[in-house]
Parts: sequence; structure tokens; C-alpha cells
Amino acid sequence: MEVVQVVGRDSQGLCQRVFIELVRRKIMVETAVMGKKEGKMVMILGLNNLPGKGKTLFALKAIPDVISAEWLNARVKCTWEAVPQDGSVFDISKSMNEKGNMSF
Amino acid sequence: MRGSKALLELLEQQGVDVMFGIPGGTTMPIYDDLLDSNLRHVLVRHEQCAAHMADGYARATGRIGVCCSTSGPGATNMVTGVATAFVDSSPLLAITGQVNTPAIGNQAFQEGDSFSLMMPVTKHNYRILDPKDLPEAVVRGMAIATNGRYGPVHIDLPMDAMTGDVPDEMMGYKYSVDPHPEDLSALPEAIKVLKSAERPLIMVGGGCVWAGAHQEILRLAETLMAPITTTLMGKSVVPETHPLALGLIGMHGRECTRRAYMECDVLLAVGTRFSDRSTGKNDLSETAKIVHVDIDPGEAGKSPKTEVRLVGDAKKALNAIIQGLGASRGDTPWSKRMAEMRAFCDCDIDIMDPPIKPQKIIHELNELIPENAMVTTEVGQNQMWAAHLFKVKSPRQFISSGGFGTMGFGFPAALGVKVAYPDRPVVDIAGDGSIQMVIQEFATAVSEDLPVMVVIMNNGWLGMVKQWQKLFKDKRYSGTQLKDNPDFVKLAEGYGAEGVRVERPSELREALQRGLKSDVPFLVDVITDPEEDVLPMVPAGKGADHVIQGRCKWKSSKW
Repeated sequence: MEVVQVVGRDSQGLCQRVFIELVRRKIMVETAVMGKKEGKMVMILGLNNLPGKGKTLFALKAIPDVISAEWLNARVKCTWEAVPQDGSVFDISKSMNEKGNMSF
Repeated sequence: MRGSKALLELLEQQGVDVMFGIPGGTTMPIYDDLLDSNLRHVLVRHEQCAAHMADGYARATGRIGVCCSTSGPGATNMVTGVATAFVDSSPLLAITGQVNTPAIGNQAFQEGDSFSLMMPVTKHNYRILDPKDLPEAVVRGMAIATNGRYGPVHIDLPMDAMTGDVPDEMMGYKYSVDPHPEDLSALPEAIKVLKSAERPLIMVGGGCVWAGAHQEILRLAETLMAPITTTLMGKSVVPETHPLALGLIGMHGRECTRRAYMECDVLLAVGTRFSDRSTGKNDLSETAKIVHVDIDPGEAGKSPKTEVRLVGDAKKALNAIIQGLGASRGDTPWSKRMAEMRAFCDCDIDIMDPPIKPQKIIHELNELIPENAMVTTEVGQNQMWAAHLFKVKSPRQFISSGGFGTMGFGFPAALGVKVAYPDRPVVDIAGDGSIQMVIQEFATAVSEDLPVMVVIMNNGWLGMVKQWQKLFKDKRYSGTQLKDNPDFVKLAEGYGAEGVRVERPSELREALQRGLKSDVPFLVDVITDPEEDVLPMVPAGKGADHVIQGRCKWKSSKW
């Protein structure tokens, strides 16, 4: 499994568009964590059956409203806290890139 | 102002002058406001054709085409046309009506999830749940469609968003899109590779048409003395009368382009995505290098043999390469060899022999149609004969459905072209199978005064499928014979068009001349040889060295 982080503007259908682009390329989304963070949509996706890593990033970045797409090469830990009274408020609390820095 | 009026005003503000469509229950507010709008509306007879017409208009002009349908079946009908534009990177704005927002998700009458349906076949799409979002969707949507790699954008517009209020102050907002990514940092490397090339070949795709890089390709070819091959989508980039233009590459490409491709040591690929139909197994020689220029970062460098990858607009990248290359290198052994091969590359067919050979139709059109004429094709054998043999003389002259291969594209696309260029002759090269998918648009052609000429290669078969069954399925013909075709001339006449049936080679030229001069839509039904195949052919999935040669001179040649 490879892990990709996609950050985009919080626009209608963004997550759906990302999934469609991946499935179109025969890439299976095994796990997904999605949440809003500082007005942006953050998606952390575990992907299988990845034919071309470089091209996948280009394809994701080409989707309108996607701001960035990058592979997460080190351990990623996400906490998803759903608070129904606050609507869809989620918190992705912890994630590290290969340098050990918080990536968001 | 109400949403539907705002939509039309926004389109006009953006320079749109025509919209192709057909009304339905959920687009009634738009059609009501159209009565007070300066937009021309072309009433089509099927929503798929609205998209093809807008697509044809876009491909002919380089400007965005706009089409409109109602919700549900109107939107699903339009999907094929939008997908056709998407695969060939043609800029469209597709507008679909939708049921009122409270009814969405309730399987209301004529409700369809067109937002989701259109998503995989568009660059971007919007569903307007609040009328105030409409200006951004139109302005930003059109910018997305015409930025970077072009493509369709879809707006799903519920009825209550059409009748709801768009605040006046929102009509003048400027909405921007992110600039498309560019990476020309490898230009020095590209120039170095091209300078060192002994046998350079340029392969041109549709990206050069959209970028308007016609002159740049010619200048570069003349500087490098490199022959030019074109993919189906790139066919209109260079005049095929130019001495360095070899013609079509790919599954049904010319023999000289196939050989040039296999012999070159550097392939400069510009605005092309190395589709399976243009380069097959991509079997360049072992040592050949590729310099690939493409505006889409996901396509640039697609081939594993890519030595240099440049991401950016073809026109801009080519100008930079030309500057770096300096003066023309003059004739080389390679350019001389290519010139000989080009001169030798010809078919060995007696086109005066009955029954009429489809190749004769293209031969006559090459001689008859003026330089400013526009040619569209359907999909199948007719398309490949046209792509192989028609000699393009001016930019954007040849329009065809490449990637999606949509039968029924050519006729409505021709009508879109005619709307854009009413003074130019427009010819659709069709098959008897494909024209029957869209023949109802003769009603549009007549009522909108769009006198195009449709030339049907009528062989009574779904010819390309039949050809594959003949070559690869031991002549086990299944579902391919078109028995009991209608009388196409009478059918055209029923719509108010004119037509003529041609059965002998000697009658063909006069019939085509009549069609070109006609003031009304004109159909030429040419009965062609059902046994004629489109050859040469590189079978699907095979390498270029597995070519099936046709009746061409190469078979017994010194080459």
C-alpha cells in the first residue's frame, strides 16, 4: 500500500473527483481519511495497485481545486474525531513525513 | 436578476455567440429568457448532437463551444458528446437543467444525477445549489475549460436556481484559475539532444492544434530538416503538401511514417499522448531517444524512452527550442532519404475500376475542395481512409473524433463548423453505419440554413468491424451487415435537403461538385466496394513491424 496526501479547496465534489480519477487509473483506494482543516479539505488515502506513482501525482494535481498531492513516505497516524453537533468537523491530528516533521 | 437570465448574460459577457441545445421541462426558464437574448440558439434534434456541434464549433475556431440540455434523459444523452470532447481535449461548456433542489435525490420526474455522471468525462463540474454561485461557475468554468489542457466543463442547474435571484453585484466578479503547471527547465537538454540527432523525426498531436503551433512546427522541421508525422488529432497542424510532411502515423498510418518512426534516432513528440492507436507498442529502435513536449504533466514523459520531458504550451516550448537550435542544418542524408520515401509512398489502386473504391472519393475531394474548406469525418473505415489520404492544406481543416471514436460525430460536428464559418464549404465524410446514428440532424441543417455536404461511403456494412472479422476472425461476420439500409437520398429529401446517389466512378466528380455548390444541405450517397479494406494496418497490440500492407508500392520495392 502507498499513502498519498491530497489537499484541496473545500469545493463541491472534490473528494468524489479524486476517487474517480484514481479508480479510472485502476488504482484501488483501500483506506481513506478525509477532513477539513483550516478551510481546506485534506485527504489521506491508502492506495493499492499503483501502476505509475509519478503520473498519479500529476493526475491528482491536475484536478481543479486540488492544491497539492504528495506521497507520505513515513508512518502516518490519523485521529478522526467526529462531533455531530458541530457538523462535519474532523480532526486529523498527527502525521509525519520522512523528515519527522508535521506535514499539516 | 433571475438565474437563467444571468446565465445567458454571463455567456454573452464571456464572448459566447451561439448555444446548441434542445429544451425540456427543467430548462424552460433558460429558453424563455433566450427570447430576449442576443445569443443564437441552434435547435438540435438530439442532445448528443448538441454536444458534437459545440465540439465541432470549438475545434474549428479554438473557442469554447456551448451546449444545453434538459435534466435526466437530456443529460444522459449528452454524456457521449461530452466524453468525446473530453478525450480529445476540446473546450466545451455543457449546461444541463436539473429538478428543483428540494426534489434532488427523490427520483423526481426526469431527475438524473448528472453531476456524478458528468464527473469522469469533464475537467470540472458544478451543481448550482444557490443562484449566487452561478457567476463563478460560468466564469471560472469557462476559464478552466480553456486553460492548460483544454476540456469540457459541466454546469448542472436546478430549476429553482434558474428562477432564483443572482445579486447584480456578483455579475461583474473576476474569478481566476490557477495557472497551468509549466516546467521547461530541461530546454537546454532538449536542444542538445536535438542538435546531436542524425535522424530526427517530429510527431505532432492535437496539442499543437489547440496551441496554434502550426508555424512553429514548420519552422522547427525546416531548421532540423526533420520529417513531420501527425497523429489523427494532429492532422491539421501542417499542410500535407509540405515536403517535410510525411502524413498520418499509427494503426492506419502511411508506410513512410511507419518506417521513419522505426528508423529515427530522436523522436520529438509534441502535444501527443502516445495513444495505442498512434504508436502501438512504441517500438522505436533500441537507441532512439524521445523529447516529449506536452502541456499536461500527466502525459509529458509518458513513454519509458523519454530522454527529455518538457511541460508547457507547445507554441511557447517550440519557439524556445527553435531559438536554441539556431540556423537550419540544410539537407542531410536523412532528409534526402525521407524525401525519396515520401515520393515513393503511394497506393497502387485503379480508382476508375468499378465498383467505386472509397479511396476515389478522397482523391476527388483532394482535387475539388478549396483550401478554406473544412472536413469532418465519422468513425470507422471512412475516417481512416480520410485520415490516410486526404491532404490537409490549412490549420484546423480536418476534424475527427480521435480518442473516443464516436460514430455519429462527423455530421453534427460539421454543422457546428458551419455555424462558425458559414462562408466556408464544409464536408462530412461518413459511412452508412455512422450517419444513421445522427441522420435526424438533417432537420437541424435545413431549418438552421447550414448547407453542409455529407458524403456517405455506403458499403452496406459496419466496415471497420467487418474488416477486423475478416482479418482476425477468419471471416466470421457477426452483426456487421447493414441489410435494408434506407434510401438515403429520399431520407435527406424528406427533411428538405437534396441528394444524389452515385453507383459508377464516372458519376462521382459531378455529384461532389453539385454538393459543394448547393445552397441547401446535400447528401451524396456513394455505393462503394464492400470488399475494400483500410490498409496498411498495424494490428492492435502489435508492433509496427507487424504491419499488414495493402495494395501499396512498397511490397516489391527497393526499400
